[in-house]
Order: sequence, then C-alpha cells, then structure tokens
Amino acid sequence: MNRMHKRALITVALVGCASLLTSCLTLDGFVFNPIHCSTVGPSTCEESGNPTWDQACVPCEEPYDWTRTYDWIEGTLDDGTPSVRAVDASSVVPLVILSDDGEAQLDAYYIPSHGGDPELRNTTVLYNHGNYMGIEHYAPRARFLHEAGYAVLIWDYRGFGKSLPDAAPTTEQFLADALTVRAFAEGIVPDPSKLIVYANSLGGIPAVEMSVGDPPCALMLEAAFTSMARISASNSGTSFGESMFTSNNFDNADKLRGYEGPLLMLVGDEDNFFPLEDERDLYDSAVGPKEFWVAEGAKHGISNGGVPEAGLTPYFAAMRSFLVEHAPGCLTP
Amino acid sequence: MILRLAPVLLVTLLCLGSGCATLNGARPLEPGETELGISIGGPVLEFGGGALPVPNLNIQGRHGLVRALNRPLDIAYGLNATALPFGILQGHVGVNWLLVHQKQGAPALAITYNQFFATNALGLPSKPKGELEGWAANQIEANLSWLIKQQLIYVGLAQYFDFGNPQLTLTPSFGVVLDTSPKKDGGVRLHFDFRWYAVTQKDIYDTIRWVPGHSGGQGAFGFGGGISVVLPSKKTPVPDEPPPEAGTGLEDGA
Repeated sequence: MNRMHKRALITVALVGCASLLTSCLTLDGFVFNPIHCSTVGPSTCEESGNPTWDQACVPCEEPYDWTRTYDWIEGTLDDGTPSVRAVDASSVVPLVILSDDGEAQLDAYYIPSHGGDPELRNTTVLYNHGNYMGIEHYAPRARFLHEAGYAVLIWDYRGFGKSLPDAAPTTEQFLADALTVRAFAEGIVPDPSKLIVYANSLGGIPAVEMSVGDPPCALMLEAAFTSMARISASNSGTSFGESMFTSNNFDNADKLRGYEGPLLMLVGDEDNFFPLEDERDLYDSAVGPKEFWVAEGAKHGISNGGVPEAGLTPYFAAMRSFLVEHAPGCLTP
Repeated sequence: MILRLAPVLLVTLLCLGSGCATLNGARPLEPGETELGISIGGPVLEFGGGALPVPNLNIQGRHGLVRALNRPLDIAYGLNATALPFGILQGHVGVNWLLVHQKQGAPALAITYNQFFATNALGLPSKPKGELEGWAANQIEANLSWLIKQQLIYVGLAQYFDFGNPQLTLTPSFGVVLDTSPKKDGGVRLHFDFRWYAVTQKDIYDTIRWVPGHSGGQGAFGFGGGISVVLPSKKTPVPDEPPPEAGTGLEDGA
C-alpha cells in the first residue's frame, strides 16, 4: 500500500468516525417553518411582496387585528356568503398556555361564538394551524369559523407568532404541547363535550395527537398532514421509512388506525402538497363515524386557495351536515 | 409558502443525489488502477429564492478489477457523508464495464450498475419511537464517451429504481472529466456532471420545489462536481493505446 492509499484510507476513516460521533443530530428542527413576532419587520410585511394574508406584520408588543380586511382570495365570497364579519376585539380573550415542561408560553386566543346560530353557540373549534408564520397567517381561517357560528380557540406552536421561546419545538415538545392545549381548552370553553378538534395541514400532527387518546366530539382534518414517508414518496418518488425523518413518528395514518371518534376529512381535489389518495388512507384508517368531503378545485391553501377558499357556503354546509349526521353531540339541541 | 419540510428535502435526496454525484463510470478503470475522490451535488431545488443543488458530499472510490472479454471492469463504492451526522448510513456499490471501445469519432459505450442503500440504524438511539428501517434503490446507466487528449466527455441515460416505489425515471446526463495530470495513467481529475432526473415524471406536488419540476414540470435538474485522484496500477500496465489520427484529437480510451 503506497502513501497515497494510506492517506486516503486515513482520511476516510477520520471522516467516518467524526460522522458517527455526531450521528445524534436529528432532522426534526427542519420540519417547522415559523415566523416569530420578534423577527417581524418590513421585509416580512409590506416589503415582502406577498398578499396581505401572507404578510407577517404584527410585532410582539402589538395585538392582532381581528377586524382587518383582506384581499380575499377570489372565489371565497362569491358563493352567497356576503361577508366575513369582523370579530369584536373586546370579546377576544388572549391566553397564555404554559407547557408541561415549564419551558414554553404558548400564545392563544379564544374567540367567543357570535351566538347567531343557537345550535353552535356552545361549540368551540380548537384550531391547529398549518406550518407557516403563526396565528396572524391563519386569522382569516379563524374568522371563517367564527362567521359560521362557532367559538374558536387558536394557538401558536413554540417559535410561531408570539409563543415563547422563539425556537421551534422538538417533536416531543410538539406532541406534548398538543395534549397540554387540549386539556387547557377543556378548562375554558363553555362546554368541553362540544369541543371540535380541527387541523389545517401540519396542524394534523397535534390534532391527531390530542384526539387519539380521548376522541373529541368531532375531529376535522383539512388538507391534513399525512406522514413524512408519504410526502417523500409523492414529492420525490422515494420510499423512505417514517423513522428516517424524525425522532418520533408523525405517521397520522398509523396513529388513526382504529380511531373510533367522529372524523371529517376536508380535502381539495387539487391539493398540491398532499395527494388525495394519501388523505384517503388517513380516512380509511379510522373506523368510527366518518365522512370524506372533497372540495372541487381546491388546492392546499391558504395562499393558493384551499378548502374554505373554494367556497365558504359549501364548506360551512359540509361541516354542519357532518355534525348533524355523525356528531350530534357537538351541537346544542 | 405554507409548508416546508426540509427533512424530506434533505433525506430523500441523499440517495437520488448520490446518483448524481457518483464518479462517472463512462470509462472503467484498468485492472489495478484505483480512483479516490469526493463529490458534492445532487438534484436542484428552489431554496431561499434561488436554485440550489442538494449538497450531498460523497466519499467515493473505484478500483479496476479485471478485463472481461478484453474490456475493463471496475468496482465503484461510496459513502454519503452528508447523511452520517443525521444518523443515516447511506452509500452505494456498483460496477462499470466498457462494452464498446472508442474508435476514432465513434464513442465508447459503457454500462454502469449501482446499488444504493440506506438505513437509519446509526440514529436509532436518538429516536425513542423510531424503528429500524432500510431503503434500497439501483441505477442502471449507459454512457457514450469521447476521450479527447485525456479529457473525457460523456452523455448518458440512467434509470433509477427505488425498490419500494419503482417508477420510470429516465435520466439523461452529460458531463466532463478533466484530467489535470500530464501523465496518462494517473493524476488529479475534476468531474462535472449535469443530469435531468426523472424527466419522464411530472411533478405535481410542491412540498419539494424542484427545478424545473414543481408546478407541473418534468423531473429535476441535477448538478454535481467532484475531484479525484487516480492511482495507477503497479502490477498491470495500462495497455498501449493507438495514436490518434492526425487532426482528430480523438483517442481510443480502451
């Protein structure tokens, strides 16, 4: 073996050893895509070039504006819904939810029902938002649900919006916080038995986590996260196993297997993130009363028009008919 | 942007990416020759407003084994160093065989078979709920190549089969291998490889924003660069090559 061979082998061995020693690194931190209020500025707001509801404009010390007008995505309000009412700011209850590990203060807001629909006046939607920015980005969604007559409790994950700390959670923290928030919610809503756990996209992870052990009166998954393995397969054609991606499994189809609570899946037939057949797998995993509702022409949302933006009237109707038929316990007689 | 799943970007591309960044086998090594090198690159995706090849760092080697039917056959092997810190052992092993010698302007033809593998075994201790999982795929590639005064130009066509999700992923490529050494039987080489992954596949999902694949485009561009050193055989001399015809500059690389 000549000197070049030896040097090459030594180099390879050193790199290999160093890599093995650092193999405790995880990919988990890459999952989240928050914007924390401490980083908000012109570059994330008016100078971002994004439409109004893709802008992060509210710094930590300022309250969210629940009366803001938006450039509503074309089509959302063209179906008979005349307007999405502003929320009475004085009625919104700002909340701070302490995590069980004592390390996080989760920002949350309770928006009471406007009471216009007697059957929904005691029903609260616990909203688990998607993987971008924070509550500011999903405020329109909360207002849609408020418009429909529900009370809404929306919370920010660690590192998102105004939640502290400003770093995204680990998977363990993410899942533990979900359980904490569910318990907290049941302590403040008018009727805990009428709590709907709702998820948009990434919110499917905490929503399923907080539901599988104790099914709420209804679980509603809109364009919900499926699993890392499924996303990998649909987006890159590979067949990596779920455990290759995160410390904890995020496989919602696996977690929902045998789920007996009422389940409503709300999906767009043009979802550009999660294939319809993968969403169908989630649905098939559950064994309780369930419905798979497809919004024609809906993409993943929000920026490109998701399930609610495809038409509020059918969206509201789909939720309501599901509750009447499969989850009447969520309604006030 | 609503969803960003960088683990998917990173991990799923480790393997495909290594296909881009392997030392090209258009010219298999003669028995006894060894080539050691590193390469970096992979499929190109949108990132931070720009385009970025996935930074797969591969430590690789080739070794000339035999002349089968008077044609060189070598073995190739590599380890993906980018994956290791994340607890994923990923690498490849394969063979390259020269089927047709270069004759004047007519290119040489070589075939490559690479077997890729990955396992999360290294990282399991940090994954309380994780399960031991593996992954495998292969690459079958044909390359036409021209050796011009020690500098190699090649064009190829590959098919990658992910055993867990087999699809038609025809991948055309072209590249150059620049030999910086004055010697003909060894020295430092620079590798530049461009390919269009899975040109036969339409990408309709945007979690990973391929260039140019996302939003209905086809496949993903790939780019890889590398550097290697060729160690000549001490036992078996490289066969003499016929001199190039005057004016062509083309050599028989066999």
